[in-house]
Amino acid sequence: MVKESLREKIAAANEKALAAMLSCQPVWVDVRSALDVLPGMTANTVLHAGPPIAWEKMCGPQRRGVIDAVIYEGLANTRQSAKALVENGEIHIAPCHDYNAVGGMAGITSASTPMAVVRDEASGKEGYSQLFQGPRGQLQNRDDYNKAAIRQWRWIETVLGPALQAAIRARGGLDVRNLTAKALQMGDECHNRNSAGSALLFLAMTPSLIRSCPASTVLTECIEYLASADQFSLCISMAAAKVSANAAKGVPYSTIVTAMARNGVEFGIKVSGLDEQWFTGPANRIEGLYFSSEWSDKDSVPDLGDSAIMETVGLGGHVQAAAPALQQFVGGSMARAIELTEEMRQITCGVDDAYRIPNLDFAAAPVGTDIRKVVQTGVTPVIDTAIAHKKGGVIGAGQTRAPLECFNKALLAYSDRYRSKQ
Amino acid sequence: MSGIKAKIEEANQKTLDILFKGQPVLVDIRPALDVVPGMTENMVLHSAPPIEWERMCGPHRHGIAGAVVWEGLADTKDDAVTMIERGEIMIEPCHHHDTVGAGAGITSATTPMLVVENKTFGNRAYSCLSEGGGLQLIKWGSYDEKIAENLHWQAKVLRPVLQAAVLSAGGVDIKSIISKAVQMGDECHNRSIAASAIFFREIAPHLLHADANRDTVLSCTESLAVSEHFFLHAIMAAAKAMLDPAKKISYSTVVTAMARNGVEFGIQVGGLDDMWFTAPANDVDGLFFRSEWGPEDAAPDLGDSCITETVGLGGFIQAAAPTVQQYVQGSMQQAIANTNEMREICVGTNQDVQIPAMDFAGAPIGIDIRKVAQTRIAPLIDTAITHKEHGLIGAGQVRAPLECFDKALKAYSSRYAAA
Repeated sequence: MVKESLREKIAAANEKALAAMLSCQPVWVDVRSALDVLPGMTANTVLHAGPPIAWEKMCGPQRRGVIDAVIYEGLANTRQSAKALVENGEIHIAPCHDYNAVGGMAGITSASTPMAVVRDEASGKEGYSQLFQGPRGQLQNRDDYNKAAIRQWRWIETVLGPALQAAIRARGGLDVRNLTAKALQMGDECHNRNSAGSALLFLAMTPSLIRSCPASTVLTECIEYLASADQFSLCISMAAAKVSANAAKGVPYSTIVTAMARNGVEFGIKVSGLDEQWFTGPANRIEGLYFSSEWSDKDSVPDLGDSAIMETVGLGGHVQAAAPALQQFVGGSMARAIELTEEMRQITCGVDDAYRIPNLDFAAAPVGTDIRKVVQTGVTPVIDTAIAHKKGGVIGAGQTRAPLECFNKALLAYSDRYRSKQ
Repeated sequence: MSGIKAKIEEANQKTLDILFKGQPVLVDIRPALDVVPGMTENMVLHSAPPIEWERMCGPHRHGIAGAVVWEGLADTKDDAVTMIERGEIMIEPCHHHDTVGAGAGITSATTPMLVVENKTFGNRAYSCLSEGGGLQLIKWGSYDEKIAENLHWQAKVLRPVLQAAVLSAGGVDIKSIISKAVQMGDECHNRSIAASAIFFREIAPHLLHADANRDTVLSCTESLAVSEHFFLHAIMAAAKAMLDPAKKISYSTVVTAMARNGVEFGIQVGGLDDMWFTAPANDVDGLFFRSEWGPEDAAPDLGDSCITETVGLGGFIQAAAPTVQQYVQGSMQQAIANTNEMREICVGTNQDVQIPAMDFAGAPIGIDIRKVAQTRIAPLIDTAITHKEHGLIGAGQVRAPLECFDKALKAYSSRYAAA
């Protein structure tokens, strides 16, 4: 009798949490610096992707990124002095997620980083993501790559960020849910493949950029950059996913996952009924394709980045059947993609009627990962993701699974908290 | 008998090679009078096959009369009709001028034309600029002041800016855009939203280089950014440019053109020169965009746009574009079955057009009149539905009539069996 009652409470809580997630109306409204817009951000804070992690345990790309950010922000002049500052505890290092933000790959975000601001029109709450996409070239040489990355970082802060700020304000915002729904009709799963989303975003933003951009050189640079940035829409989608996932937080008794993130060492999840606690397990390796034959698992870090927020809201790996092109990374097939999407239905508690999969006769996307279902079935969320080099840069792409351990730990904590209440 | 079989195989293989080797590139945008072979100031082109004025469907009659007014040859549509009936206006099919026209295919001297060159063979083909969205366009036979205003704007403002951009880009590779668009849910006939978006991404940086003020560039950019079918016309011209070198190949049984004039459906065949083989056009099965419209309002199958099916796009790769199934209450399974069915009447597989949902199987390409006649499977065409007077009222799919293929095969036999 008591058990039945708990089950009912969970069902009601999950329904409430999922409804909150799905009724979110994320609109990209602004671009502002992290210092201006992230709640609690300070000049000497550096954020990273994934669950919290001690400096000593950080993976290569994050260590390198933190040092780069300290120098970039003018807090130190050399790598050595930057490292000393970090080791003396003078730099506050924290997960993006603590600041309602998400960061792709290493997720390095510091005071001056331009952030996409996505607002939920229903609640007024906001989610944020940095706009950075690594350079495409120079990947063969780490030093060249990292120099190019810093140059691009600076350009995004001083040129692209302000131009997009003016354009998105002039446009009066961009409905991200609508963009995502359209992209799903065009072969994107909105995590590893964002070709359609980026093209649609480019269509939407180009007239606004022409209207609001004062200098012709700036306009040309921004248009040329965005015209070839195939993954650009992911930044905007991630910020939208973050604000949507946040809406499902803090519902007592809910067993729905509200965050999934990786720091290259650990995979962490948060659960609606368990507030802000992280539950972690070792990050898995990524099964996929390296962009060059010179790279292999020995060059790469395990699963990294906050982009698994996309799977948290039922996109990416959950809707692989929408993006058969990605099967090429994993030697898969259409049948396999459909199987995975159907498998995700076993561990989710609802569907998103706005997100439909053309190849499955427009079936709705499975959404709302339930920790109970994961533990019971042993089926863990499948995540489409990029592969990062140990020293920085994206060198491949493929898919991975969330480790079961996070869900086991979360369920244990859940039992402690809620069973005693019965 | 085996002698002729070998000759056919050889001719058809040669045809396929020509189709595969074709490299259609958008190289320029010019007024029809400047570029379309044989174009004159008092000529109006329409979608093929040829048809006399008296027998024409509503969209052709209205559209041609509209074009005569737009060109300033007459003050009113009534005056235009009088001129036409007196034989003062030359009326010919687009196809006879290396041109393809969607819908009614109305093309006149001032019409801004996409110039597509097949870089491999050096031949060119043409199609008018898309007028953008909307149910009332001259493309659908409609003509009024608003339509005229847009046509003027396109000819005076958009054409030179877009021309400058295309020249600045050094041409736009249409084949590669088709390949990418098919990975993004387009079948490149009823759906070309991805192709249009990819084209926009390629051309936008060059639009900024055009010698025009920013307001002009902005108006052109805005127009292109919302034009979801813009690139269909470029794809059509590309298909025509790929197919034309495959004409006049002795013994070839491969179809080199399919076109509809709202009354008749016509085909041309590689081994049979420029002859049209025609049969009554079928009614289109599909979705009407408003409840007030039904099959009784529709003109039969119309337009040169099925040049896309002639190169194995559109209805031949429905499985690439499940969204198009929504017009016909179809399903993914049905779309795949349709694509597989088209394989039975084709001579080859096009690896440049791969269907994601079928594990990247290549598209069926090269319709063989023998296979159609034998299997009784008619080519499946995705297409728009036009009102019997004028205007766009729906979209769906239709079959080519088998009679065209039977007639063509008969002509083929009398020509080659004797030889």
